[in-house]
Amino acid sequence: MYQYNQDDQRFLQQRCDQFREQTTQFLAGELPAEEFQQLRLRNGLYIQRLAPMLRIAIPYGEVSAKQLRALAAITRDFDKGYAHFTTRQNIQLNWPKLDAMPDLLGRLAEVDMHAIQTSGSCIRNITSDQFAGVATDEIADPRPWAELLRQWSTLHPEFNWLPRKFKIAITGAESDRAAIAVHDIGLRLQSDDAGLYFEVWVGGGLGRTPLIGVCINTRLEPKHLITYLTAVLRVYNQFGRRDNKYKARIKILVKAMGQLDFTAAVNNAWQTLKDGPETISEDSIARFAEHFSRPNYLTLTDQTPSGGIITTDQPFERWYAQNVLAHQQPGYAAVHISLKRTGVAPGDVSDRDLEALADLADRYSFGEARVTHEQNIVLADVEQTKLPELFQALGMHNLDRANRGLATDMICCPGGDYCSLANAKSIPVAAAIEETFHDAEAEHHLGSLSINISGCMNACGHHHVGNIGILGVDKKGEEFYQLSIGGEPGEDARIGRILGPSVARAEIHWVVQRLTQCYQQHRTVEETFNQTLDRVGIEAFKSAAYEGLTS
Amino acid sequence: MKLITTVNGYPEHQEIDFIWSGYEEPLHLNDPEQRSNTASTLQIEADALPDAFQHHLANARLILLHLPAFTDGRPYSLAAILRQHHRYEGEIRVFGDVRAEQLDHLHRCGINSFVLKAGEDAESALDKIGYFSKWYQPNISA
Repeated sequence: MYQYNQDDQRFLQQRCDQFREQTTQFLAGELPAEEFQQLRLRNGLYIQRLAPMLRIAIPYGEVSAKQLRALAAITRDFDKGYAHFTTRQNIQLNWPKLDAMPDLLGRLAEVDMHAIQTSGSCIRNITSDQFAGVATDEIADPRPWAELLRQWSTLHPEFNWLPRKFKIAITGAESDRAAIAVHDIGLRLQSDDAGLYFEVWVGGGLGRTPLIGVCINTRLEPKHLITYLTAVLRVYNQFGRRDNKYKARIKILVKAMGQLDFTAAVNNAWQTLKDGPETISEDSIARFAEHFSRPNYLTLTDQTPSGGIITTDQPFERWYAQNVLAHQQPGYAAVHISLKRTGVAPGDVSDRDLEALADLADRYSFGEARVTHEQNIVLADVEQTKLPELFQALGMHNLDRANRGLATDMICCPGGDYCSLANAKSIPVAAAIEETFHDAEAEHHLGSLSINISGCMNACGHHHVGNIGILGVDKKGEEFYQLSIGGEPGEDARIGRILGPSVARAEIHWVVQRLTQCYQQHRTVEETFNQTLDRVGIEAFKSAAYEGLTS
Repeated sequence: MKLITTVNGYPEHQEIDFIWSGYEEPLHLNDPEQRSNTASTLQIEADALPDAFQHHLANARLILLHLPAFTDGRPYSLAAILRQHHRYEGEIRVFGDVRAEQLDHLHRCGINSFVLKAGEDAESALDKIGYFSKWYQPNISA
């Protein structure tokens, strides 16, 4: 992973010093509240329902064992001993205190971590594929480019005051695990006879107006990545709406201008910048790539439970089938660790969990772990013969659930329990659904299904792209939930369709169950939820869902 | 680099020859007959389109750039466009809701003169420029 040099560390230290001065000034009444608000947001600090919330950046989801241990200690020293992984591969603390924030940021800086631009109207954390560098369907490793973009976007002088937040995702594999089509900018590394190139997608996003992005450049030479993105951001910074924050995202501008005019405006702005000083030299990207060189793999051969791996029991085989993924390197596997556990909010981890993950990363995966945008953890480089041992160790920490991609692997925002934007709670809904699908046998029989829950239309829980999407709404002071079905996040991204009237919290898990029953009743062998939906039509699901509802 | 403090954060307006705003024709403040050959002062609003005033840049000696709110990013891009696209080398003076904390980024976009908002501490303001010893992007020089 990327190793900070002295310049990077000094930069981070200066950023901490700067925020310490700003906080001191604010607390002394020398810095106006509306100005400090913007400055603290750009250091990841929100004021939530009950306390401040700090969102710590985990660039493209890569985190070291050392950093996980530091995070564990920070949750103990500054918070209540737990934290929450987000859909932007970040981690959030729910109870830090404002006056302790400069010290907290200082502690993060000790392990090369920060909270820069994790909120505010600026370029947010760059997200990517959690299997970058190990996926068998990879065209090129996106991480060197993701790190290059992280640096470029960090305190960019021109783009710190955009009309609204700005999210960039990048993938380098055939299967899109970074949901690039629902980002302000989505980048897809491709290659042909002439070499590597980027597809540039713009104007996707969820929130109040969910839209799938459009491709404005089908073949961008990689050396032009920074100058081209500068042009996109410059057009957005100049012409994006600032009069209405609900219409301020780039997707609205792209839609208003039209794809052709927007592309022309970008190309016009690009002419000035193209081949200029920010053109990426081969040396420069090679230096970034060095940070992501392959670890010291042993020379091994591929093993399976039926040949080579000593299987101990049936739970292992189920976990292996569900949570272990193929790897580029013979004899290795990528392991998905579920953070969707009974009695724990989706994506939440305790300080002990974080330390356990750190130990396991050290012992089994070259001291590194990945955070996924589905709020789980990946150990990317595990020797296949050590999988039974790892499975046992995970079991000791309640981290061995074999539910990757199944109904209980829900994406869920913190919702009304924490977030001041939320219209409704989402964690209790996830808990009720978890209980409904708790039986592992039945859940496996049901198969792949994404259930995504957001507590408001800001859509942090990505409800639009869940096979079943659940959105919290406020109906005369009561919590109701609107359902949509048929969403999809990946390379065939699409927005779910609203099913019908919203339902009360007490009934939501029953409705979800009836939708899955309808799917099981109609599906043919191997058919996904969306394929069945497309074939059968929404009406069948609608009547199944609302049958016998009291509200 | 210049730091100007005024009572209300706005520059004296009588020197300005033209004001550009949005798609509008420029507002002529001085006799338009005289404008062609003399060096001029332009005022540019945040919503102005550079194409509309580019013919006047050759004679411009001072550009007053309006920052309507400290959260408005448009003047940053306008300054960058003036420097990078139009190769304007004269003074760009930002005025409006200009706060000390923003001087560094404004400066890095090619702005070389600042009219601070009333109440901002002028003494400490210039110290904000160059606070960081490293940046991840090249600066746009004036």
